[in-house]
Amino acid sequence: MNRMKHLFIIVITIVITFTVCTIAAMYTPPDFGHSVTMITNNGGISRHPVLLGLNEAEYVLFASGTVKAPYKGSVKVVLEGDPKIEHKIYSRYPPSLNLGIHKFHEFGNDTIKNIYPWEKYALVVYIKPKNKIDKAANYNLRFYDLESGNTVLSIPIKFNELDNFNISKKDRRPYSKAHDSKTISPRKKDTISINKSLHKVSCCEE
Amino acid sequence: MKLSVQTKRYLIIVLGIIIFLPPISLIPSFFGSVSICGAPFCMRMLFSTEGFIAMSKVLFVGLFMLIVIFTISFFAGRFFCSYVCPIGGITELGSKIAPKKLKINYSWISAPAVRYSYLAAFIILPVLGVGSICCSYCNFSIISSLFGSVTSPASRILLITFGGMVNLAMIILLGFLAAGGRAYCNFLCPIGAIDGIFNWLGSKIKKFKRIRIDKTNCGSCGQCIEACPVWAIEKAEDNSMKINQISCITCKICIKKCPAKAISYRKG
Repeated sequence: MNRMKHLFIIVITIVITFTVCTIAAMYTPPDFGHSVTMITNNGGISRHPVLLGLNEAEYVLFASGTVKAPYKGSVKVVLEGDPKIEHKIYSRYPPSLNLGIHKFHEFGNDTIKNIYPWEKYALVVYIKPKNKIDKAANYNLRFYDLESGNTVLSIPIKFNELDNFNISKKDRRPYSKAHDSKTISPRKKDTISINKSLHKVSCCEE
Repeated sequence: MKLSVQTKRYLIIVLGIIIFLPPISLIPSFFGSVSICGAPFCMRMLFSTEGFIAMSKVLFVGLFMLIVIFTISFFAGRFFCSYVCPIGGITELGSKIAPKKLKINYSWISAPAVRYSYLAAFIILPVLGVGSICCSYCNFSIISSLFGSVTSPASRILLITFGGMVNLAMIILLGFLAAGGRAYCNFLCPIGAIDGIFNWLGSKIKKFKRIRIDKTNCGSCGQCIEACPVWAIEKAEDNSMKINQISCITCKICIKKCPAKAISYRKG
């Protein structure tokens, strides 16, 4: 009897843990988004748009990634969209106490200076809008090559009502694409009609 | 002055914190990063599909570290978890400072059941397209940010998000306020979960040293049960003590606690 009770408790624990994990995995926080990206010569790679909720006092976007060869240069980072929103961009590099073991790129005036192939970057964009964003809006965190003005990376940011638990399974799989894929799988539940050209990160206005 | 085993262990943990965590983060500096979070040696990301893709360019570093950790665990015990891991170490050290009144005892929960269903969810959910619990709920990421926040505004900002607050709460409840300070490691560390399997497999080979109980000397006083930070010791039906090698982290706290000197680190 004791053995049966013990087994029952273990089964219940497993079921509860798996359920909690599933709910946690499905949940998208409304004030934070992380985009794993890659800077390339032909427009960059960002596998999915960053989805942020409405009416938050502040938002944080974490963009990290690698520079793909042969690109090298300095990159200006601009948050584009209408209306303009108050934001500040921080670099996570270099460490506070730089021991000089590794060469870290400089960051200043929203520009990552002198980055070389296969180097990494990690930016934190802190968005604190004066007026709360209360309706759907599309923004873009665009990385321009300082010399040529070409887009080397573009991360779509979509502010919208987040319907966390009704997103279809297929749309929750942005990472199933190959690393070099330039398509972004948007969520079906998103009410914004997404311009097809936005899905291609390599698209650019210039 | 002769230092006790536990004092030495805590000193090594402090060294691990200096080496791995910001603002000094000596080892991450070698790889051009400020923290272990998201760096090439993030071994947790390797278990999830998106992580595997994202880290594919630098996979060898994380894989190499995993192989080293699991090999040590197989042959000698979980020395990475108990001696080196700066994250488990910091919560264990932190829990020593926390007042006893506030301590939460989680030993009534079946840790292996939680740990291995968490590991299964960690690996399976991204594959099924449900989402990922890889980075969003990671104690490595939050402790890195916590340490980094002393000097880096970027780290401070990462802490103020909803996810940051949830993670912080988890670190406090399952780390600093947990009896033994290792509840997070025991429940929610995927590396620890796999490491535990290697430790258990190695313990089956009698030539390999492990924490073992000499039943003839054991007085079944239960002091080791109370002292174990990962609740790896339990009373068997015949009233003798039994070490659950899948949970044991080879910290050797029980050896010091045992009044009958029945516990030792030895061959089987």
